[in-house]
Amino acid sequence: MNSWPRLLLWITTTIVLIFMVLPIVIVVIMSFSNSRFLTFPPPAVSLRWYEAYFGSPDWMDATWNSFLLAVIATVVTVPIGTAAAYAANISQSKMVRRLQLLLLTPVMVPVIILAAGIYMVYAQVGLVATKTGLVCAYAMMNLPYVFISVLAGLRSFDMNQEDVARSLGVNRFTAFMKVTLPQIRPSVITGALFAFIGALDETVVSLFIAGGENQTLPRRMFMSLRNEIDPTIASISSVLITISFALMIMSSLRGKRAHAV
Amino acid sequence: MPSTNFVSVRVQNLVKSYASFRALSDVSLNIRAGEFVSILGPSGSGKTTLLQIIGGFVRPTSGHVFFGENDVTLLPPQKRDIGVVFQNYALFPHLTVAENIAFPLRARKVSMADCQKRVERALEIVELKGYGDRAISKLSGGQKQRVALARAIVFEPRLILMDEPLSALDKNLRETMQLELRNLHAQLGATIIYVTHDQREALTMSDRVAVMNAGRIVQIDTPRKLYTAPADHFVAGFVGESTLVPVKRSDPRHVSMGDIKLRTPRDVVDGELFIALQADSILLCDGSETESDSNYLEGKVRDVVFQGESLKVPVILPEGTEIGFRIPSHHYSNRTLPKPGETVRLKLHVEDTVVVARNPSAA
Amino acid sequence: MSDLPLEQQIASTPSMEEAIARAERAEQRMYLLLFAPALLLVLLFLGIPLAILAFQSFREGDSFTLMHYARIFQEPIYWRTYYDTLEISVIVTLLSVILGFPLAYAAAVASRRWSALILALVMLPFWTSVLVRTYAWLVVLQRRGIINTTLLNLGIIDQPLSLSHNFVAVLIGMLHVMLPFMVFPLYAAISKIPAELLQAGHSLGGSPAYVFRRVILPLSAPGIIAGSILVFILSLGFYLTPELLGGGKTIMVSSLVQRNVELYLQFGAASAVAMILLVTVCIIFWAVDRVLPVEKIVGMR
Repeated sequence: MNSWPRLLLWITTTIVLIFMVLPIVIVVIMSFSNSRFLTFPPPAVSLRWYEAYFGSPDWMDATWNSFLLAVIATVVTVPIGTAAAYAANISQSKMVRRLQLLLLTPVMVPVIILAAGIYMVYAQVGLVATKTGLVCAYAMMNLPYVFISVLAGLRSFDMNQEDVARSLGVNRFTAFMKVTLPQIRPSVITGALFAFIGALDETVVSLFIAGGENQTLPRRMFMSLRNEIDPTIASISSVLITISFALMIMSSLRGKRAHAV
Repeated sequence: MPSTNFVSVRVQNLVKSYASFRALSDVSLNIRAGEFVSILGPSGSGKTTLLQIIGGFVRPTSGHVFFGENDVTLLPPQKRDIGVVFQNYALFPHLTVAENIAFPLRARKVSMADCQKRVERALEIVELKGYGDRAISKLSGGQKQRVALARAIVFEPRLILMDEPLSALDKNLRETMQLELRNLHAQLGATIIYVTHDQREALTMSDRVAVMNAGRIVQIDTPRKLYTAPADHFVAGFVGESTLVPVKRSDPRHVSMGDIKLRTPRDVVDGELFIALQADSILLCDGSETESDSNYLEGKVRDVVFQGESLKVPVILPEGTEIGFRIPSHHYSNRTLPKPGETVRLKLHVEDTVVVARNPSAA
Repeated sequence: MSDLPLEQQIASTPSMEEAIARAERAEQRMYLLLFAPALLLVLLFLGIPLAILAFQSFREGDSFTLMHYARIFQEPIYWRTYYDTLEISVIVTLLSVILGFPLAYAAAVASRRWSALILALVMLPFWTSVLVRTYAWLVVLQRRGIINTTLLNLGIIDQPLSLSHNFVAVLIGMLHVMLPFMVFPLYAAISKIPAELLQAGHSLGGSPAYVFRRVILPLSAPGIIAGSILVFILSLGFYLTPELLGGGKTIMVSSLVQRNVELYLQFGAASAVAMILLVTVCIIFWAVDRVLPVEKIVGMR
């Protein structure tokens, strides 16, 4: 390549990357500001917004609630999605292949439509602002990520191994647990991470169906953002960014290890 | 590991149909306890499907599989007591060598101490003593092959199935492993069913070879018989290094190839006939030689190709067909080699004059 | 096929064949059983809500009506919103391709280390909550946000600029969220182009522009299509960012749905608006499925 297109390429790349990362960096910096106002750079460093966050029972309740819901939703979604992926991978039946597409619809339907529809159903059956209602909605929404991830893992797994394990004397379930699962673990974990972070960050559906005792962190943040800029949000955001960052590193390390084997 | 577990296997009228094609059409096969039988065929002939049905991994559309007297057709693999070695070994990469071999013992709840002893013994048999703690990824192809073998025999199965287990190895290792498998078979007294597309491998190792084509067993016989008395033109073409040349029956004991009359060892029936000319049963001879127990041919040498232990000589017969014969390399210093373009006289022993009929169902 | 003579020759007893068929069915049933919980989850919590939406959209009081759909075409606020939604989605998609392509290309041709860095810097915002990222843009853009306070402090302006709560702010926020969805499929497509091919283009005397047009662009087309569909569809139904950065103005269809449900309790109107959006999305997927399987597009995440 000539030098000027190459230079142009790298300049554009740098600018776009700055565009991608800068807002996140700014939020983290602002979370350590001592000022109520968005002066940049902050006049002085302080932890007052973290204290405001961790000291507020309301914020803590919402945070704890979101964590709990995300964990339960993940625990529900992963086995269901894994079982479905296993069946989809092994079954020759045309029906299962058709049904497979159905499992992807939750990511294809716009979230706002999901939220409105679920709200109307939940309002009828009294599931609004319940843990059950939220967990079920999250499990449905994140099912495709677990399904896709595990299916990809199974597709690159040599199913002969399960046949061999069975010929060596274990039943199908044991063969799956002892031979298949340990080897597709990275894709199961990746799916679980997606499901967890998806449930933790879910905002739109919880705007419609969370509330009361079952407030979620994103819903509370959204409400607060609509009113005024409370710098506490910056500290909460920084915490969430840190969690995302940790999960991202975890998932990419998993990926690398899977490649190394 | 002397074992008396090994059983006879009887396959009866197996049919396997898929939506668009028939993988097996009415396959029957009897294997004695302790016999080494190879299933030989080109890819797509149904040999792997047959093995998978015997292993219980695939259900037939109809038919039966018996182990000894027991009908196992519907038995899942885990209840069949079979050792299986696949082409890619299918070792469990997340377990060590010893854990792989112990897998079937653990599944059978064998005690820890006993388990360890038997793993050691199995490692000894496949000559991998001291490799127990190795990771699978640290093994060479040949070593993986041996571990897969150890895992398949350690629990004293009733039957051992092998699906092209040597095809991933290089030539030298393959030949060594063939002999070792042969020895192991003798040592264990195992019933072994061995799937391969390599005719040389099948002929080297087996007591009997079942040749498959298009979902059927065309012939099941000893390696020698396959060579000397192939059932049809497919077997004759597939086994050995032969050229099929169309011939006509002139009387029960003679066929004619163009102008040449050839005597046959057995009576031939009329039909669309071929003579199977095996490269190593054709010999170069003097122009004047005539013996009563041989047939003679003439042809023009096209080339002389050095191929290591022998020289291959393609020859064009008067009516245009090209055949080939071999001269052992160690002969070629004390013999005048034919030159390209030269006309040579060739002899074929009557016993080697193999005439086969076309099987209309074979390709 | 049962009338083939072969079948009659075979001495397999009918009961055996039946038993085999039964075992086969039992196995298929087991797979279906493994599949069932997932299916049930989707049918109950997606199927039923969508069915209710469809039902409600034709209903007013106790009778069936087309009034909700009629109103969408009659009242300018409705069809204008659809028009704006389409417009902004198209713009976001185009900008994503224009900005995402150099990024994906740089990641594909750079050395391993640089490539990993570029992808990680796209990955980080991707894994970060949309809400957090939208907040970040509020911090930067709003009336008393970083840009305005900085400019005021430096004395460059006397009055804060109105950077947020408008079309451009929504555009910036959406672009930030959508770019990774474009970059990943693009990167996957471009990194599959063999380096020799690019070099071959040069050695044959092609100018960079020529090589780009004749080699790189056609070969990265699947990535462009997948990324564009993904970005376009996600943009059509995007709620959070337009709502917050739009400052309460109804800019996108999603806000229309939300307001009709939560503010006005107009379930019929909300359902009709949602159904039209849903049908649009379905038509796009259906059309694209002919070129590129939907599983592939969705699986890109």
